[in-house]
Amino acid sequence: MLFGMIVINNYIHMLQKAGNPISLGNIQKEFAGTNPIKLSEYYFEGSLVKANTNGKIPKSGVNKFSNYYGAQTFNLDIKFTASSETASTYSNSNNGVIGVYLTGTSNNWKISCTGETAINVGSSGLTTKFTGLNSDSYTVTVKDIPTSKSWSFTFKIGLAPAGSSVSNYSLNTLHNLTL
Amino acid sequence: MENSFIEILKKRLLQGSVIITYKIGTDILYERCFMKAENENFYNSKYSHFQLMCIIKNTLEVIKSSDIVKFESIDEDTDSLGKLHFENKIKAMKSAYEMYSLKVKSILFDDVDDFFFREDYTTTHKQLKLIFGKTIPVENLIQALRGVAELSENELYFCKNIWIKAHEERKLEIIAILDSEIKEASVLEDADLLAEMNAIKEEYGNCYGDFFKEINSFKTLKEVTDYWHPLTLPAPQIYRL
Repeated sequence: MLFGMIVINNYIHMLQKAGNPISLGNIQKEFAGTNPIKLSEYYFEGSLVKANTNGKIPKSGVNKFSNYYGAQTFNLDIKFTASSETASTYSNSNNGVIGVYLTGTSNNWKISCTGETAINVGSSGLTTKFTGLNSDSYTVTVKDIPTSKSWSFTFKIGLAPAGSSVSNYSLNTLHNLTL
Repeated sequence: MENSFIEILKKRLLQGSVIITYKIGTDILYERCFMKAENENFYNSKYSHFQLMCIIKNTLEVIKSSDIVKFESIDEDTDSLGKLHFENKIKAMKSAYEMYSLKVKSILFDDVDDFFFREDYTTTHKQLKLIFGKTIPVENLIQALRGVAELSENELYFCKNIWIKAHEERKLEIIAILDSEIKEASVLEDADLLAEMNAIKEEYGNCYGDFFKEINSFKTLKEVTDYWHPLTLPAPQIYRL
Protein backbone atom coordinates (compact mmCIF):
# COMPACT_ATOMS: atom_id res chain seq x y z
CA MET A 1 0.00 0.00 0.00
CA LEU A 2 1.25 3.45 -0.84
CA PHE A 3 1.38 5.77 2.14
CA GLY A 4 -0.36 8.71 0.54
CA MET A 5 -1.00 10.02 4.01
CA ILE A 6 2.68 10.31 4.90
CA VAL A 7 3.54 13.64 6.46
CA ILE A 8 7.17 14.60 6.62
CA ASN A 9 8.80 16.87 9.17
CA ASN A 10 6.18 16.59 11.89
CA TYR A 11 7.26 15.58 15.36
CA ILE A 12 5.67 12.39 16.56
CA HIS A 13 4.45 13.96 19.75
CA MET A 14 2.41 16.34 17.63
CA LEU A 15 0.60 13.41 16.03
CA GLN A 16 -0.99 11.87 19.01
CA LYS A 17 -4.56 11.72 17.75
CA ALA A 18 -5.56 8.30 16.51
CA GLY A 19 -5.76 8.16 12.75
CA ASN A 20 -3.25 10.91 12.10
CA PRO A 21 -0.57 9.79 9.69
CA ILE A 22 2.92 8.92 10.80
CA SER A 23 6.02 8.22 8.78
CA LEU A 24 9.60 7.02 9.00
CA GLY A 25 10.57 10.66 8.53
CA ASN A 26 8.58 11.58 11.63
CA ILE A 27 10.25 8.85 13.61
CA GLN A 28 13.70 9.91 12.49
CA LYS A 29 12.93 13.53 13.31
CA GLU A 30 12.06 12.58 16.87
CA PHE A 31 14.69 9.96 17.60
CA ALA A 32 17.49 11.01 15.22
CA GLY A 33 19.39 8.57 12.96
CA THR A 34 20.75 8.65 9.44
CA ASN A 35 19.46 7.83 5.98
CA PRO A 36 18.43 5.40 4.70
CA ILE A 37 15.80 5.08 7.41
CA LYS A 38 14.77 1.64 8.58
CA LEU A 39 12.08 0.93 11.16
CA SER A 40 14.32 -1.79 12.57
CA GLU A 41 16.63 0.94 13.90
CA TYR A 42 13.88 2.18 16.16
CA TYR A 43 13.19 -0.72 18.48
CA PHE A 44 13.06 0.19 22.14
CA GLU A 45 16.48 -0.13 23.83
CA GLY A 46 18.21 -0.03 20.46
CA SER A 47 20.85 2.59 19.78
CA LEU A 48 18.31 5.33 19.06
CA VAL A 49 15.23 4.71 21.22
CA LYS A 50 16.38 4.84 24.84
CA ALA A 51 13.01 5.39 26.45
CA ASN A 52 9.64 3.82 25.71
CA THR A 53 7.72 6.95 26.62
CA ASN A 54 4.37 5.74 25.26
CA GLY A 55 4.84 2.16 26.47
CA LYS A 56 4.16 0.70 23.03
CA ILE A 57 7.50 0.49 21.25
CA PRO A 58 8.64 -3.16 21.19
CA LYS A 59 12.15 -4.38 21.89
CA SER A 60 11.88 -6.93 19.08
CA GLY A 61 9.41 -8.70 16.86
CA VAL A 62 6.67 -7.18 14.71
CA ASN A 63 6.81 -3.41 14.69
CA LYS A 64 4.52 -0.85 13.07
CA PHE A 65 4.24 2.89 12.67
CA SER A 66 1.26 3.11 15.02
CA ASN A 67 3.52 1.94 17.86
CA TYR A 68 5.14 5.38 17.71
CA TYR A 69 2.05 7.49 18.33
CA GLY A 70 2.72 9.71 21.34
CA ALA A 71 6.33 8.54 21.62
CA GLN A 72 8.96 11.11 22.45
CA THR A 73 12.66 11.10 22.76
CA PHE A 74 13.77 11.12 26.39
CA ASN A 75 14.62 14.47 27.90
CA LEU A 76 15.12 15.52 31.49
CA ASP A 77 16.62 18.75 32.76
CA ILE A 78 17.30 19.42 36.41
CA LYS A 79 18.21 22.46 38.47
CA PHE A 80 19.22 22.50 42.12
CA THR A 81 18.90 25.07 44.84
CA ALA A 82 20.15 24.72 48.40
CA SER A 83 20.11 27.05 51.36
CA SER A 84 21.93 26.64 54.63
CA GLU A 85 20.55 26.22 58.09
CA THR A 86 20.69 29.58 59.86
CA ALA A 87 22.20 29.98 63.30
CA SER A 88 19.73 30.89 66.03
CA THR A 89 20.35 32.32 69.49
CA TYR A 90 18.45 29.71 71.41
CA SER A 91 18.09 26.56 69.40
CA ASN A 92 18.85 24.82 66.12
CA SER A 93 16.93 26.46 63.34
CA ASN A 94 16.53 23.23 61.32
CA ASN A 95 15.68 25.35 58.31
CA GLY A 96 17.99 24.19 55.53
CA VAL A 97 16.26 23.71 52.19
CA ILE A 98 17.01 21.60 49.10
CA GLY A 99 15.10 22.47 45.95
CA VAL A 100 14.90 20.24 42.86
CA TYR A 101 13.43 21.70 39.66
CA LEU A 102 12.53 19.21 36.92
CA THR A 103 11.43 19.65 33.36
CA GLY A 104 11.24 16.91 30.73
CA THR A 105 9.13 14.58 28.70
CA SER A 106 7.79 11.97 31.07
CA ASN A 107 6.08 14.19 33.68
CA ASN A 108 6.30 11.27 36.06
CA TRP A 109 9.18 11.39 38.49
CA LYS A 110 9.86 10.41 42.06
CA ILE A 111 12.22 12.48 44.18
CA SER A 112 13.64 11.07 47.42
CA CYS A 113 15.81 12.72 50.03
CA THR A 114 17.56 11.13 53.03
CA GLY A 115 15.19 10.97 56.00
CA GLU A 116 12.26 12.47 54.08
CA THR A 117 9.21 10.98 52.44
CA ALA A 118 9.46 10.65 48.66
CA ILE A 119 7.53 13.09 46.49
CA ASN A 120 6.01 12.04 43.18
CA VAL A 121 5.95 14.82 40.62
CA GLY A 122 3.52 14.76 37.70
CA SER A 123 4.18 18.07 36.01
CA SER A 124 7.15 19.76 34.35
CA GLY A 125 8.61 23.03 35.52
CA LEU A 126 7.99 22.59 39.25
CA THR A 127 10.43 22.96 42.09
CA THR A 128 10.10 20.37 44.82
CA LYS A 129 11.50 21.44 48.17
CA PHE A 130 12.72 19.45 51.12
CA THR A 131 12.56 21.82 54.05
CA GLY A 132 13.40 21.84 57.74
CA LEU A 133 16.85 20.30 57.18
CA ASN A 134 19.74 20.28 59.64
CA SER A 135 23.23 21.11 58.45
CA ASP A 136 24.34 17.70 57.18
CA SER A 137 24.85 15.60 54.04
CA TYR A 138 21.80 14.44 52.09
CA THR A 139 21.38 12.10 49.16
CA VAL A 140 18.69 13.15 46.73
CA THR A 141 17.54 10.57 44.19
CA VAL A 142 15.48 11.39 41.13
CA LYS A 143 13.77 8.47 39.42
CA ASP A 144 12.12 8.67 36.03
CA ILE A 145 9.19 6.29 36.56
CA PRO A 146 8.53 5.18 32.94
CA THR A 147 12.17 4.26 32.31
CA SER A 148 12.99 3.24 35.94
CA LYS A 149 16.24 5.18 35.56
CA SER A 150 17.58 6.90 38.70
CA TRP A 151 20.16 9.60 39.34
CA SER A 152 21.59 10.35 42.78
CA PHE A 153 23.07 13.61 44.02
CA THR A 154 24.94 14.41 47.21
CA PHE A 155 24.05 17.67 48.92
CA LYS A 156 25.86 19.36 51.74
CA ILE A 157 23.69 21.71 53.76
CA GLY A 158 25.88 24.10 55.73
CA LEU A 159 25.30 26.05 58.90
CA ALA A 160 25.27 29.75 57.97
CA PRO A 161 27.45 31.61 57.21
CA ALA A 162 28.79 28.39 55.60
CA GLY A 163 27.19 27.78 52.22
CA SER A 164 25.48 24.70 50.78
CA SER A 165 26.39 22.74 47.68
CA VAL A 166 25.73 19.68 45.53
CA SER A 167 28.67 17.48 44.52
CA ASN A 168 29.75 17.66 40.86
CA TYR A 169 26.97 20.09 39.91
CA SER A 170 26.51 23.81 40.21
CA LEU A 171 23.48 25.26 41.93
CA ASN A 172 20.90 27.35 40.04
CA THR A 173 22.00 25.96 36.67
CA LEU A 174 20.00 23.74 34.35
CA HIS A 175 21.69 20.35 33.81
CA ASN A 176 20.63 17.77 31.25
CA LEU A 177 20.34 14.17 32.47
CA THR A 178 20.79 11.36 30.00
CA LEU A 179 19.82 7.71 30.03
CA MET B 1 -0.67 2.79 31.85
CA GLU B 2 -0.14 1.09 35.22
CA ASN B 3 2.89 3.23 35.90
CA SER B 4 1.24 6.56 35.24
CA PHE B 5 1.40 9.33 37.79
CA ILE B 6 -2.34 9.18 38.58
CA GLU B 7 -2.36 5.37 38.80
CA ILE B 8 0.47 5.52 41.34
CA LEU B 9 -1.47 8.14 43.33
CA LYS B 10 -4.59 5.92 43.38
CA LYS B 11 -2.52 3.04 44.68
CA ARG B 12 -0.96 5.19 47.43
CA LEU B 13 -4.39 6.46 48.52
CA LEU B 14 -5.48 2.88 49.13
CA GLN B 15 -2.34 2.29 51.23
CA GLY B 16 -2.33 5.36 53.49
CA SER B 17 -2.51 9.12 53.87
CA VAL B 18 -1.22 11.25 51.01
CA ILE B 19 -0.24 14.92 50.88
CA ILE B 20 -1.39 16.23 47.50
CA THR B 21 -0.31 19.44 45.78
CA TYR B 22 -2.83 20.78 43.27
CA LYS B 23 -4.16 23.84 41.54
CA ILE B 24 -7.43 25.40 42.54
CA GLY B 25 -8.68 27.45 39.62
CA THR B 26 -5.46 29.39 39.17
CA ASP B 27 -1.78 28.62 38.90
CA ILE B 28 -1.34 28.98 42.65
CA LEU B 29 -0.64 25.61 44.21
CA TYR B 30 -2.18 24.33 47.41
CA GLU B 31 -1.04 21.43 49.56
CA ARG B 32 -3.50 19.39 51.59
CA CYS B 33 -3.33 16.08 53.35
CA PHE B 34 -5.90 13.39 52.64
CA MET B 35 -6.99 10.27 54.47
CA LYS B 36 -6.42 6.73 53.30
CA ALA B 37 -9.33 5.66 51.08
CA GLU B 38 -11.58 2.87 52.33
CA ASN B 39 -12.23 1.53 48.83
CA GLU B 40 -11.75 2.47 45.17
CA ASN B 41 -14.86 4.67 45.05
CA PHE B 42 -12.76 7.75 45.74
CA TYR B 43 -12.05 8.12 42.02
CA ASN B 44 -14.68 9.03 39.44
CA SER B 45 -13.31 7.75 36.15
CA LYS B 46 -16.10 9.34 34.09
CA TYR B 47 -15.15 12.86 35.17
CA SER B 48 -11.54 12.06 36.15
CA HIS B 49 -11.81 13.51 39.61
CA PHE B 50 -10.98 12.42 43.13
CA GLN B 51 -13.25 12.72 46.15
CA LEU B 52 -11.05 12.70 49.20
CA MET B 53 -11.37 13.45 52.89
CA CYS B 54 -9.03 16.21 54.04
CA ILE B 55 -7.38 15.17 57.30
CA ILE B 56 -6.70 18.73 58.36
CA LYS B 57 -10.23 20.09 57.95
CA ASN B 58 -12.32 16.90 58.05
CA THR B 59 -14.07 17.94 54.86
CA LEU B 60 -14.67 16.10 51.59
CA GLU B 61 -12.73 17.72 48.75
CA VAL B 62 -13.18 17.17 45.01
CA ILE B 63 -10.01 17.44 42.92
CA LYS B 64 -9.67 17.10 39.16
CA SER B 65 -6.88 14.69 38.32
CA SER B 66 -5.47 17.17 35.79
CA ASP B 67 -5.01 19.72 38.61
CA ILE B 68 -2.74 17.42 40.62
CA VAL B 69 0.94 18.17 40.17
CA LYS B 70 2.65 16.42 43.09
CA PHE B 71 2.01 14.08 45.94
CA GLU B 72 3.96 12.90 48.95
CA SER B 73 3.36 9.51 50.51
CA ILE B 74 4.91 6.55 52.23
CA ASP B 75 5.86 3.83 49.76
CA GLU B 76 7.89 0.62 49.69
CA ASP B 77 11.16 2.57 49.62
CA THR B 78 10.39 4.77 52.65
CA ASP B 79 12.66 4.02 55.62
CA SER B 80 11.61 4.33 59.28
CA LEU B 81 12.95 7.87 59.53
CA GLY B 82 10.95 8.89 56.47
CA LYS B 83 7.79 7.30 57.91
CA LEU B 84 8.27 9.15 61.18
CA HIS B 85 8.90 12.40 59.31
CA PHE B 86 5.70 11.94 57.29
CA GLU B 87 3.55 11.15 60.32
CA ASN B 88 4.99 14.13 62.20
CA LYS B 89 4.44 16.40 59.23
CA ILE B 90 0.74 15.53 59.13
CA LYS B 91 0.38 15.98 62.90
CA ALA B 92 2.15 19.34 62.68
CA MET B 93 -0.10 20.48 59.82
CA LYS B 94 -3.20 19.49 61.76
CA SER B 95 -2.17 21.17 65.00
CA ALA B 96 -0.97 24.29 63.16
CA TYR B 97 -4.31 24.55 61.36
CA GLU B 98 -6.18 24.22 64.65
CA MET B 99 -4.02 26.97 66.13
CA TYR B 100 -4.65 29.19 63.09
CA SER B 101 -8.37 28.59 63.30
CA LEU B 102 -8.36 29.70 66.93
CA LYS B 103 -6.31 32.81 66.21
CA VAL B 104 -8.07 33.74 63.02
CA LYS B 105 -10.64 36.03 64.56
CA SER B 106 -8.17 38.09 66.55
CA ILE B 107 -5.71 38.50 63.69
CA LEU B 108 -8.32 39.06 60.98
CA PHE B 109 -6.98 36.94 58.14
CA ASP B 110 -8.66 37.53 54.84
CA ASP B 111 -8.92 33.82 54.17
CA VAL B 112 -7.15 31.46 56.51
CA ASP B 113 -7.58 28.42 54.22
CA ASP B 114 -6.13 30.22 51.25
CA PHE B 115 -3.17 31.31 53.30
CA PHE B 116 -2.64 28.12 55.26
CA PHE B 117 -2.73 25.65 52.38
CA ARG B 118 -0.69 27.62 49.84
CA GLU B 119 2.24 25.50 48.72
CA ASP B 120 4.55 28.48 48.18
CA TYR B 121 4.05 29.84 51.71
CA THR B 122 6.66 28.41 54.01
CA THR B 123 6.26 27.80 57.70
CA THR B 124 8.00 31.13 58.21
CA HIS B 125 5.33 32.95 56.19
CA LYS B 126 2.66 31.39 58.36
CA GLN B 127 4.50 31.96 61.64
CA LEU B 128 5.15 35.60 60.81
CA LYS B 129 1.52 36.14 59.87
CA LEU B 130 0.42 34.49 63.07
CA ILE B 131 2.70 36.67 65.20
CA PHE B 132 2.64 40.01 63.39
CA GLY B 133 -0.79 39.86 61.73
CA LYS B 134 -1.46 41.41 58.36
CA THR B 135 -0.51 45.04 58.98
CA ILE B 136 2.91 44.62 57.38
CA PRO B 137 3.15 42.36 54.30
CA VAL B 138 4.86 39.07 55.18
CA GLU B 139 7.27 39.47 52.26
CA ASN B 140 8.57 42.72 53.82
CA LEU B 141 9.11 40.99 57.16
CA ILE B 142 11.04 38.19 55.45
CA GLN B 143 13.21 40.66 53.54
CA ALA B 144 13.94 42.43 56.83
CA LEU B 145 14.85 39.18 58.59
CA ARG B 146 17.15 38.27 55.73
CA GLY B 147 18.78 41.68 55.95
CA VAL B 148 17.86 42.42 52.32
CA ALA B 149 15.64 45.40 53.20
CA GLU B 150 14.86 47.42 56.29
CA LEU B 151 11.50 48.14 57.84
CA SER B 152 10.47 51.75 58.31
CA GLU B 153 10.77 53.21 61.78
CA ASN B 154 7.01 52.91 62.32
CA GLU B 155 6.94 49.31 61.11
CA LEU B 156 9.82 48.37 63.39
CA TYR B 157 8.09 50.09 66.32
CA PHE B 158 4.93 48.12 65.51
CA CYS B 159 6.87 44.83 65.44
CA LYS B 160 8.66 45.62 68.69
CA ASN B 161 5.31 46.18 70.41
CA ILE B 162 3.97 42.91 69.05
CA TRP B 163 7.10 41.07 70.24
CA ILE B 164 6.81 42.65 73.70
CA LYS B 165 3.12 41.69 73.78
CA ALA B 166 3.97 38.09 72.81
CA HIS B 167 6.55 38.04 75.61
CA GLU B 168 4.00 39.35 78.10
CA GLU B 169 1.48 36.69 77.05
CA ARG B 170 4.09 33.99 77.52
CA LYS B 171 5.08 35.43 80.89
CA LEU B 172 1.44 35.47 82.06
CA GLU B 173 1.05 31.84 81.01
CA ILE B 174 4.06 30.89 83.13
CA ILE B 175 2.86 32.99 86.08
CA ALA B 176 -0.52 31.24 85.92
CA ILE B 177 1.28 27.89 86.20
CA LEU B 178 3.38 29.22 89.09
CA ASP B 179 0.23 30.48 90.85
CA SER B 180 -1.36 27.04 90.70
CA GLU B 181 1.84 25.52 92.11
CA ILE B 182 1.92 28.15 94.89
CA LYS B 183 -1.68 27.23 95.69
CA GLU B 184 -0.70 23.57 95.96
CA ALA B 185 2.28 24.44 98.17
CA SER B 186 -0.07 26.46 100.44
CA VAL B 187 -2.39 23.49 100.79
CA LEU B 188 0.56 21.27 101.68
CA GLU B 189 1.79 23.95 104.09
CA ASP B 190 5.29 23.55 102.67
CA ALA B 191 6.86 26.83 103.76
CA ASP B 192 10.21 26.31 102.00
CA LEU B 193 8.61 25.46 98.68
CA LEU B 194 6.21 28.36 99.04
CA ALA B 195 9.05 30.82 99.64
CA GLU B 196 10.95 29.44 96.66
CA MET B 197 7.93 29.67 94.38
CA ASN B 198 7.23 33.24 95.45
CA ALA B 199 10.85 34.22 94.80
CA ILE B 200 10.64 32.74 91.31
CA LYS B 201 7.39 34.57 90.68
CA GLU B 202 9.00 37.83 91.73
CA GLU B 203 11.74 37.33 89.16
CA TYR B 204 9.10 37.01 86.46
CA GLY B 205 7.53 40.24 87.70
CA ASN B 206 10.84 42.02 87.05
CA CYS B 207 11.62 40.59 83.63
CA TYR B 208 9.25 42.91 81.72
CA GLY B 209 11.51 45.94 82.36
CA ASP B 210 14.65 44.13 81.18
CA PHE B 211 12.92 42.81 78.08
CA PHE B 212 11.36 46.17 77.20
CA LYS B 213 14.71 47.95 77.55
CA GLU B 214 16.55 45.42 75.38
CA ILE B 215 13.94 45.37 72.65
CA ASN B 216 13.83 49.15 72.42
CA SER B 217 17.59 49.32 71.92
CA PHE B 218 17.45 47.18 68.75
CA LYS B 219 17.65 48.70 65.27
CA THR B 220 16.52 45.76 63.11
CA LEU B 221 13.73 43.18 63.09
CA LYS B 222 16.31 40.38 63.16
CA GLU B 223 17.79 41.74 66.40
CA VAL B 224 14.30 41.98 67.87
CA THR B 225 13.23 38.45 66.96
CA ASP B 226 16.62 37.01 67.92
CA TYR B 227 16.07 38.20 71.47
CA TRP B 228 13.86 36.53 74.05
CA HIS B 229 14.09 36.63 77.81
CA PRO B 230 15.70 33.40 79.11
CA LEU B 231 13.04 33.05 81.82
CA THR B 232 10.25 32.81 79.27
CA LEU B 233 11.75 30.41 76.73
CA PRO B 234 10.79 29.01 74.29
CA ALA B 235 10.41 32.02 72.05
CA PRO B 236 7.90 32.04 69.18
CA GLN B 237 9.49 30.01 66.38
CA ILE B 238 9.98 32.02 63.20
CA TYR B 239 13.27 30.81 61.87
CA ARG B 240 12.33 28.68 58.88
CA LEU B 241 13.28 31.20 56.24
